[in-house]
Amino acid sequence: MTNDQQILDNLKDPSTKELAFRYLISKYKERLYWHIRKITMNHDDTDDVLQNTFIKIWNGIDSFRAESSLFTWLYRIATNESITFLNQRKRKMMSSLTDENEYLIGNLQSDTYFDGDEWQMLLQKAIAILPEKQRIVFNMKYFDEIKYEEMSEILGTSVGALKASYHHAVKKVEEYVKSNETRIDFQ
Amino acid sequence: MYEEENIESEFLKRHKTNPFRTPDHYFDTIEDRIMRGIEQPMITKAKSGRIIRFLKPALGLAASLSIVYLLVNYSMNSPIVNTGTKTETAVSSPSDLLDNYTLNLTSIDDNTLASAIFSDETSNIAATNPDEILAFLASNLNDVEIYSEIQN
Repeated sequence: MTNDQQILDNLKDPSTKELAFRYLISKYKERLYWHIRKITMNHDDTDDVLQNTFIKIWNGIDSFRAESSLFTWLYRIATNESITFLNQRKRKMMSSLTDENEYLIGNLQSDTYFDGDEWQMLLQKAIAILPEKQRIVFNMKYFDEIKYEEMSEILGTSVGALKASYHHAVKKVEEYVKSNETRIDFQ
Repeated sequence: MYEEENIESEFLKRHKTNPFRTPDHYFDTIEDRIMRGIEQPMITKAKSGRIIRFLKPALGLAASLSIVYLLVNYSMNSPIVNTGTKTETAVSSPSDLLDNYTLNLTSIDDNTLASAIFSDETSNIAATNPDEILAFLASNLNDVEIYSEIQN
């Protein structure tokens, strides 16, 4: 059982479905985890979203028509679950985009599993204050190095719009870093 | 228009590392936790399905008995008997007749009832000749005379 088509074939057979699904989890768990983690910026939230994502995948696997690749489909579900999670949090605790950014920065600062230095914290804060779409595009391009064509399938946005989003995101991140780097204490 | 190759600054190129980490052995047990999360709603669903499957015959039997009871009860209390309207009078019990009578009396108002009671007497009195009444009163018969009159 090596490629995605084999996994899908085994998922359709009730006698091998559970085993195949376990294999699918083990194959994609880390990539999906890090994708979600960069959106929610917190391990505990990521853990919840990742579980929900795999439950959605399990429930929807029979309706997967293979019009896109399995990887694209999984990423799309993970992205949508992450956005839904943040929107739910926004409805419960927040009221505006600024508050959502503050929530993400708070998440980042309270996350005990952040090992970066001050520069990396500054970069993550710059990413946190980006609008949602730009933040997702920036993370997928900058950290995960996903091609625009694949990103287009996952996010349902044209390649041109994605390039524009990434361009604007990079400019905003650089501006934020430049205006805040003097506060970093060099030792 | 937007070429990504040259837009990243030196700063972005330098810090392209993942600063996050996970708890120790987090990924080791994730399959089991996710499968438990998937099975949990399935077990709940299966349990509720089993309860319904167990109760289904009992509920069906109870519903059938209720229908039979209602049908019997309805046929016992219904004024229309299968043998038809003509035999209904013959099989009606005295209590049924009394009920019908009571129902009729209660449906009549006081004036109608009074006129119905006294209408015959009034008409008899009106029909009787006053001379006959006077002759009857003037006869002044005692009991023995009345008895003899009757015997004759």
